[in-house]
Amino acid sequence: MISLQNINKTYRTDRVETLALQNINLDVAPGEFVSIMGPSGCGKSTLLNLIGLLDAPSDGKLALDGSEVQKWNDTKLASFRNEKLGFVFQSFHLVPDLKVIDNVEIPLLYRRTNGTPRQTLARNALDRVGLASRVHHFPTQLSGGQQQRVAIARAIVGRPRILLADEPTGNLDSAMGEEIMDILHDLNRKDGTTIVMVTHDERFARRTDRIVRLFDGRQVA
Amino acid sequence: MLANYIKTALKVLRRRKFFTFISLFGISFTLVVLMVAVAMLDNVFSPRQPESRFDHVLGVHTVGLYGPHFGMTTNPGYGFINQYVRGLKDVENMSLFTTSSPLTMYHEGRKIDTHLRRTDGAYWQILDFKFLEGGPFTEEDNRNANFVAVITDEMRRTLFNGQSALGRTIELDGQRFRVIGVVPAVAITRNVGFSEVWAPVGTLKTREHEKRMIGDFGAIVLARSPRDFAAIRREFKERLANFVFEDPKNFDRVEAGLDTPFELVARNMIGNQYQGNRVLVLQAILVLMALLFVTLPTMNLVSINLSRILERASEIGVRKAFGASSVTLIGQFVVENVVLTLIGGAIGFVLSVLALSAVARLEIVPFAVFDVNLRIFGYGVLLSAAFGIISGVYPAWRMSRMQPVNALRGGVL
Amino acid sequence: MIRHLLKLVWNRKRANALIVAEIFISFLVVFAVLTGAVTLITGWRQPLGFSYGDVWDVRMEFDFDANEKAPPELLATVARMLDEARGLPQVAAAGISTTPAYSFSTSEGTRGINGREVTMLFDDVDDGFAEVMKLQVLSGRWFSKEDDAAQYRPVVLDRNAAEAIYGSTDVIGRTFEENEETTCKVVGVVAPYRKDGEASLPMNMVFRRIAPDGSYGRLGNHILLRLHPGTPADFEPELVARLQKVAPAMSFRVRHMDQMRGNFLRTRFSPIVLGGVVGMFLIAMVTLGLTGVLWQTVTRRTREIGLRRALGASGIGVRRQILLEVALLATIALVAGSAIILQLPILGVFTLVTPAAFVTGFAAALATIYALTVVCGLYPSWLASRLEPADALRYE
Repeated sequence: MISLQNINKTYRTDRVETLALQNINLDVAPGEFVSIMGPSGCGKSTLLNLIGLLDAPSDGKLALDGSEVQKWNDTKLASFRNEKLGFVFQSFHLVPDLKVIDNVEIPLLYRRTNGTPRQTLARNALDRVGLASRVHHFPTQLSGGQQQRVAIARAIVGRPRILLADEPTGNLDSAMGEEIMDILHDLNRKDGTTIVMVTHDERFARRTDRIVRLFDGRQVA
Repeated sequence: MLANYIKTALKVLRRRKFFTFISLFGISFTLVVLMVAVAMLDNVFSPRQPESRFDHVLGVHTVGLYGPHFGMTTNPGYGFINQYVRGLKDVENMSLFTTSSPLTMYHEGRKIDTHLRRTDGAYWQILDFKFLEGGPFTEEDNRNANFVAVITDEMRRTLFNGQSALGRTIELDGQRFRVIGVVPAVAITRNVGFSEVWAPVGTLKTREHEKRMIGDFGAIVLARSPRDFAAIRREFKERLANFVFEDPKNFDRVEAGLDTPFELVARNMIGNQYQGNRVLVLQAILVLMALLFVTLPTMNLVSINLSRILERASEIGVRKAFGASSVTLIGQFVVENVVLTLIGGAIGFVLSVLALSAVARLEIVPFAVFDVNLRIFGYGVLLSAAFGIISGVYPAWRMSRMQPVNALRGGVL
Repeated sequence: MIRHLLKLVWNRKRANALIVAEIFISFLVVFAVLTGAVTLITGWRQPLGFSYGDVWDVRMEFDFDANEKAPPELLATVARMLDEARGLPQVAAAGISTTPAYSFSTSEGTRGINGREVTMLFDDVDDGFAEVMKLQVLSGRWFSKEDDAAQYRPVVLDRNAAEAIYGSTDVIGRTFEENEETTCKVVGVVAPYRKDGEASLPMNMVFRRIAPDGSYGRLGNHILLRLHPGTPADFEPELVARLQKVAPAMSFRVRHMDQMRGNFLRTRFSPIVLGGVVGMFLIAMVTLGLTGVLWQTVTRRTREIGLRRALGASGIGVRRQILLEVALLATIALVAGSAIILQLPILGVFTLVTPAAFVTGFAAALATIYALTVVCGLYPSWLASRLEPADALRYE
């Protein structure tokens, strides 16, 4: 499903060149739930962003769903993200100007789904994360856990094959964190969604199929 | 998709009230200025009553005489028109008239400032005055020097309290005229149509004018179709090539043209020497002035837009992460901006109607009625949409180039 | 501190370029508006060099070709009209002018005299003109019968013209070549005559005499009459009837010079006032826009500001920093703007405005722009200074 070979990522600023990722090799099978762990600044988020096509590797091979992605242009990347990938971020990144339902509809918009089916799909997704009653609230009117659940609904509304979660529990207390993890496991088991999750929390990591550990941009386990 | 963009746009605008207010202030003010300018230009140049047929009409209003020491540009004289303009081929009808001269009349102990134009009979055939009462004088009236006059309804109001003027006598310029027709007032910007009182050329006090090459006259010719303009102009030019100079020591070159109203303004502003490019030059000047004026508002709107977009950097990141391509995003922001400018345009439109009526009340341009018609409304919509696109594209482009990762971090443009 | 801010401004050059450009253009607009305003106000308060009250202008329409000499019959008719007018008890004085004050016609020319290019305004007038307009003769005398036999064409200069042509006011009896055929001789100097009245730009006025026999000078088509104060307006039809009787073939229009003045000034000032209003709106728009942009910058830089506070900057310090930054941006724009504005004198701006108005407008524009940018920065900087360091750092 996801295949990284000899991936390097360097950031260039004025003078300094920072090596963020070094020679990463990683394969994730369909339906697998993998967590990435490591101290701050070790490159976890960079790695996730590369897989999510939000950033491009400096060199190495990246294949998603069997196809090489290096040569894709902006439009192709956009449509792949739209159809095959779902994102959950640590700080939720909900659009504050839009109501819950409108936030969840965003991926479908770029898929040109019509109004009525779009609403139905969005409601189903919200139902799935237990927020059917908050459809017409604005994000700021919700608690952190609820906001993250909206974000998950948004990530799954397009039924992506791969779900990428960047510290989805990082801004939440442990009870809410548990709720979120339950939802992710439910998705993984029932829908067979491949999930890659960056986390700090050993407890949550242990519940996943496999743990990848990074240190200073290198893979250590 | 578009409906959704618009929905989002309206939501964003409602929630960012201060930015919305600044943007709308700038946009509507800019459009008021542009619309007032367009309405005035339209008022001057577009064919409208009584000059409705002026898309088929060419006029001779200036003659330039040049010599080794000096040159001068004035109105043509009666003799010039008779000799060089009358009888051109391909011309359906032709009229000659004096410029409208400001005069004072004394009526029942009151002093009234007015304008008098003396014309021939054909004037009333080429121009389409809508007579409120009575009718025009004829070529026969002109030949027989009948002392008859047409006045405007404004004059009728001032002179006769708005009661029927037919058959009444007015005393003007030391002569007495019998009123035979009343027409609606004409804007002073209408070079040929404007006057307040019209009388036959034949009633001029002397026959001195008949041999003059320069003087106080003008002429128009009505072509069957604008396609004939070129041929008519060519023939006129050939005739001028044989111009007889009365005073060859001082003047040895003559310039005159058959002009459309726009060309006439170009000729007066830019001078005779530019020949064919005059119209282009004037157009370029007008466009340049508009662009110069629009620079500051555009920059203002662009920087506000950039700010608004930066504020929404994380939203852009999200949208990119969920599959929006750069093109889609540019589209979205341009649509947002166009929605904003159209709202500003609507406000601006209402304000310009008010501004125009204020201009009309101030009588900066006497007798002008700046009606806001469909065409001007169309210009307004066009102008605001163009303004919206111009000021929206650059910020949107900058934004769409932002790396999704940076955007999510609330990154730097 | 300044150097630190300069670095900051430079590193954000892309975001700042637009703001600088905006301030730059605003500066030019403010300069134009203020210089115009100063010119108008100072111009309004200066003496006109003539008196327009109780003066009536009778415009005659007569018909002879521009370059011809006036026909003798016409000269005789006009002379008889003047006599007729002077004979009326209401009329104090009568004279002829070609381009009277507050009329829209001017006659302007540039001549190379004594090696300098001098732009002059001309009016061809008769001997009675000075009395009608109450011109103040500073030296020499006004035109009179003495000039009938003159060898050169007599002219009277206003003080500006005397200084422009000869660089002195001691000019009686001096001559200059008006063109290849005509030499002019100065017989008098009058106080600066501002033909366009309160709307006049700096100009050099030259009055040329019209010879009664038509041997030199083109006959002007305005008869100017000074009436005794308190003459009622209904004298006008009587006057016209009397003149018409003398010249039945002629057309007239009578206007009172105070009305001509109102009409003229309104026409002259409307576009200027309109431009000023538009300019002020532009500035208001930019001020609002700048406030918005700065506000946004502050929110975006909340983290940086929090850091500064954590590192020990006080609320006032943060506030001062933001205001200084804005002032710095303004300075860059103003330096660029000044570089352009200071070129204007070379391009001959002083034919339009006086040097004093130029300098005043320039200084006032500088002050205005600084004041406006600081005002734009006030609210956002206040917002920034109120941020608690911890909140600021947490802000995402």
